[in-house]
Parts: sequence; C-alpha cells; structure tokens
Amino acid sequence: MSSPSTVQLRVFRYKPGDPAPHYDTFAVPVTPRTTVLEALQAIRRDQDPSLMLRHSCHHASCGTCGLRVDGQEVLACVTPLADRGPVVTVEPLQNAPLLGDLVVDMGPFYAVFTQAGMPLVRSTEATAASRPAAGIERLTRFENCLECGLCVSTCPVAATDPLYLGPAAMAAAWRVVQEPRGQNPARALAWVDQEHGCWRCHLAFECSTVCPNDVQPGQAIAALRQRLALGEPAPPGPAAAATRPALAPTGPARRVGLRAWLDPRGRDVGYWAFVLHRLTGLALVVYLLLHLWVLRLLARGPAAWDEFIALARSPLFLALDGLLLFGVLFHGLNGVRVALVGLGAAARRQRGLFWAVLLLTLLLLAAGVAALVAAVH
Amino acid sequence: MTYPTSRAKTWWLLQALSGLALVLLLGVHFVAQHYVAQGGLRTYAQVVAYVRHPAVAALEAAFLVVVAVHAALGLRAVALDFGLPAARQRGLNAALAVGVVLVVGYGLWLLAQVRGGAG
Ligand code: SF4
Ligand code: FES
Repeated sequence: MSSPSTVQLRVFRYKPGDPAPHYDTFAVPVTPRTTVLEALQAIRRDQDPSLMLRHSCHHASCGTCGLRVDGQEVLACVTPLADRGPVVTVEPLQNAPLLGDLVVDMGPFYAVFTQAGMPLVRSTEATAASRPAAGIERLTRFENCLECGLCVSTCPVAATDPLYLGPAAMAAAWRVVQEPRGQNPARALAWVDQEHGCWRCHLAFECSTVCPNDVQPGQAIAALRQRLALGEPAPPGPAAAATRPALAPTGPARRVGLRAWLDPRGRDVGYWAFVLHRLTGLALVVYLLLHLWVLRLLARGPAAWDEFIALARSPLFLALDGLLLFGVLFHGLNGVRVALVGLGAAARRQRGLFWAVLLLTLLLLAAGVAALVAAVH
Repeated sequence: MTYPTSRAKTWWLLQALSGLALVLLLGVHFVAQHYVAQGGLRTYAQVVAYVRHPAVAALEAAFLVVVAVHAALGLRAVALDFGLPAARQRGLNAALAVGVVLVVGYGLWLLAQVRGGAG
C-alpha cells in the first residue's frame, strides 16, 4: 500500500498561563521518507511559528528531539511519519516539567544523571581488537546514552514516584561500577541502594524497549541489584555513604501517575507483566481479608457453613473463583519471574519468561476450572 | 565482597523470599488437600476433620503468616511507588505491622475455633 500523501498531525499544545493543554490538528504533506521532526518543522515554518519543539542534530545523536508519537517514546528525527495511519498524535515526554507545547525541562533529568557519576568521558573506543575486561559481559560504551530521557518518560515507576532515580541515571551508575575510570564504584552502588533507587524498579523493561541506543537500562538495574545482593565480584575502593537524591525540579513535573499503568499504547510485554502483577496483587490483598471474613462462618458452626456452601455453588461465585485462580496463578508464577529477573539471573530473557508464565497460567487455569466444575456437578 | 545491607534491599529480598515461600506452601497445600481430605472439603465435618490434622494446621498457620507479611510488603511497595516521603515511611511500616499482627492473630484464633468445633 502506498503511503498517504497527507497526514493529520494532532499536536499537543500548551503555553505557560494556559488553563489546560489542548490539541491542534495540522495537515502535513508526507513522502515515504518524511520524519516526524521534518513534519513538525514544516508546521512551524508554514502554518504556526509559535509551535515549540526541540531538536539539533537530525541524526539520532544529540537526544534532544524525544517525543511521544501515538503514545510511544521515539526520537522524532529518525521516526518516519508514513504508514502510521491518517491521524498521528504527537505529545511531549512525560514525567518531566512541561515548558510549552512539545518541550519539557530536562534540568531535573540532568541533575540526577550528574549524581550517577557522569561516566560520559570518551577516553576509549571499542575496536575489533578490544577485549572486555574481566567482569564485563560485553563492551558497551556508556557514551551510548544520548540523554534523551525517553526511558524516564515511559517508566511506570517514574510516572508515580517523584523521588525515583530513573532508568538512565541507574544505567549510568552501573557503567561506573563496570568501568570506574578513576571513580568510586562503591559510591555508585551505595547511591542506587535506596528505596527510590534500584529496589523501586518493577522490571517493566519499557526503558530498554524505547531506548534508541541499546543502553538497556532495565538490565543494568537488574545487574546493580545482583551486585548488591550477591556482592561479587567486589569493585575496588572504599564504600561511601549513600547520598539522598538531591532532586530539585525546576517546575511541576507532568507526571502521569496511575494513568501510566493503564495506558496501553505502544507498550511491551514487560509492562503488561508489571501492570497485571500490581493489579492481581492488590486484588489478592482484598481477597485475603474477604477470605478471613468468610472463614469466620466456620467458627459459627455447621448451619452457617452450609449456607455459605450453597452460596459458593452459584454461577457468579464460581466465576469469581475462576478469576481468583487466575490472579493467584499469574501473581505467583510472575512473582518467580520477577525474583529471577530482578536479581539479574535472567534479565535478558524476561520477555520469553513472560510468555512462559502466561502459558503456564492459562494451562493451570484450564485444569483448575475443569476441576472446579467437576467438583460442583 | 558483600555490601552493607540497606533496608531497601532487605525489604525487597523479604518480599521475593516470602513470595517464593508462598508458591511452595500453596503447592504443598494442594497436595495435602489431595491426600488428607480425600472425600473433599464440602461438609462442615470434613473441614473440621481436615484442620484437626496437626500437619495441616501447621501448614495453614505458616501460610497465614507468610501471606500476611507478603501482602504488607506489597502494599508498602505500592505506597512507595506513589512517592511516599521518607518521613512517612515509619508510620506506614508501623501501620502495616499492626495490620499483620491483627490478620495473623484473627486467623490463628479462627483456626483454633474450628479445630475445637464439633467434628
Ligand atoms: S538510557 Fe537510552 S532512553 Fe534513557 S536517556 Fe539514555 S539513550 Fe535515552
Ligand atoms: S535531533 Fe538529535 S537526536 Fe533527534
């Protein structure tokens, strides 16, 4: 199918002082090679010079053009606009203070990043002859990080926890641990070893999915935990006291909050695992209390119990039993996945593990429901 | 080299370990039901006879304690996900600890009542 020649670009608009954000729709001509950034620049040039956006290099190197296109974090300069459908929605990054239209304040992001130790000085290049040092799985220069902030925008924990250190900064801390170059890796470890550090991550791995330069922050966080929990091999240098993150946002962060847990656009399986785990967990807490309340009937003698059993055979109750079984199975099996992945044991296999968890859940659910139906009839 | 144990690490590991223990206990629970309660657990008398088995009572009590701790740690994690400031963490920990004691206490009392019921 040939791409449409005109696309309606639905653009998020907000200027300081506006009561609320809104969307403006612009018709833009599109060729198969037109990028989102080019389309936005064309709008600015030909239709609305007040449109605020950030960009610099135009070739996925500076990290300034991060945006959300149809709900997914991308670098606008290398994201083609064609074949996305007749209407495409463009929004600013989340979990950062909004300055106007598509521009967010990256100040808080850089501030946390700096605390990670800034492992950004390019003093070596990996060449064909390069060999990873002992303890380093493969050569990935942390200079790979563009500081684009896409990972923080997509992270469901950053969406709700303003103190969270965030994926990029913790990936930077892991880089310091891997290759200290004169820095103190123990200090980096102590920095992430806090409630709002690596232990707050829920392994949704959206950060790794959206990262345009294969930094794999999710895997880095799992590796930090593994190092902190298992302790080997030891990095050189004395331990330093943990520093509290000195987060000083320059304005109100546009945190999406709970909505981020339920926004299905452009999300990967790790994210769904996180959301389902949270929802089933909360539901099971409610069930635990309900279960104790029901069991009190046992203490009241046979008559009360028989009444309950009659109720428990109703179709609605059986349907709820099926739902409960799903919750228990998914939460339990995914819990094993979270424990393994969260300690770095299978961080690169988290996707495959998710499908295995889902398959096993459904198989056991089918067996459980069959047993339930047989027990009633 | 091992690192100084931070509270955050301890909580996370406790959450993971209690979760793994629950998976095991649940497995044992189903196996026990299969062998101990062969006629099923439908009538009052069957349930009372089942929980009177000492191993079953121990299993149910252990399950209750672990599930209460795991649930409390889960709620704590959700509260921190929503940015609970450090100053409030102590209060939350205390409230959750009270909740665990109440749930476990009530559950054990129920278990004792049922075990003493007419079989
Ligand atoms: S880790 Fe990846 S997504 Fe995050 S800021 Fe760096 S390049 Fe961007
Ligand atoms: S403009 Fe530099 S990365 Fe897109």
